[in-house]
Amino acid sequence: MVFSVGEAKSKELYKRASAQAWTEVEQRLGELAAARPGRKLELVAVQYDPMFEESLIEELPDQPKSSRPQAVEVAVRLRVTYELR
Amino acid sequence: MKKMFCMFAVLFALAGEALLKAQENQKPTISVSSTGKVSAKPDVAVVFLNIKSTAPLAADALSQNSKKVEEAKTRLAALGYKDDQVKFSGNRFSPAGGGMFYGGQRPTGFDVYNFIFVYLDGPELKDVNQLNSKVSTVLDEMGKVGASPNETPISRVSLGGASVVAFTVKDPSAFEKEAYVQAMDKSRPIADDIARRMKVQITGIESVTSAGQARVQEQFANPLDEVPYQYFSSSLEEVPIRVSLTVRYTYK
Repeated sequence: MVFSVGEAKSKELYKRASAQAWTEVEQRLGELAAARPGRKLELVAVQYDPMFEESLIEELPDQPKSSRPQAVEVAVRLRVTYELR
Repeated sequence: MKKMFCMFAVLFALAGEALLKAQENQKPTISVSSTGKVSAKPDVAVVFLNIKSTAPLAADALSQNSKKVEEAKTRLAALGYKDDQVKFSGNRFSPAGGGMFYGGQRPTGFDVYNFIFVYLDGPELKDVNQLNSKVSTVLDEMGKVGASPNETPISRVSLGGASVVAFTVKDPSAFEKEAYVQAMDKSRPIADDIARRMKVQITGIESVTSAGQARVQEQFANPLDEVPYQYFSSSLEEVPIRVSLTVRYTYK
């Protein structure tokens, strides 16, 4: 048995995951800036990749899914490129 | 239902003068990977079969297989299949047993195999009973000449397991376009959301790149590679057509 969520919930989960990833990026950028006083970090590129979106079983829709009824997981990866000036 | 979600944040620092110079000419961008998926009703079915002969000498295996192939052609013609509905891959050689041969060892024999593709694109695609009946007849007739169903997975894991029949669409261009639009539409709100967090505004699209559809990679010859269609399904109801894009937005 596979548990899943609808499209609206799926969008909401990805949005929340993206927000969390961005918070982590900001924290790490803050740490990097603190370690280099007098220099400026400037973002030059951000890459967003949702993960595990596609269904491996072709009859099932491309929605996040889980074998456990308690939790459906989604993951996103934010890849940030910055310049140190 | 309690939801969990994971995230990964990866930071790359650009280092080195050359890289920095390269970046000076590059506009800052937000890239979003996105996938659009639409379902198409299949308009052709492909039955996958394989004729194989094994003998200690390659020439004997070839001779035996060529005879079987000729007989298969005759039987398919008798069933009413025209030349454009049947394709043979041609005879190919492989060491018998498929094992590894170290230190100059020779195989004990040779396999000669020939894939057969039978295309069904008539009214049977609208009637599952008629389709199954035609497929059964082909399988049984081909079984009489020693052909066996090919068990290569069609494209992905199917709830029905491996099938000897794949469904596809002859011209997927309209569906690809629809999936492309869907992927573009999905990417923009994500880019806007990231831009909002960065306190910047999207100013345009710098590039859109599409990635090819992933297909199960086999170690051995895959008959799917020899069929002139791109999207496959084991379902008569729908062929999923996915388009994956990376949209690179500029911002200021």
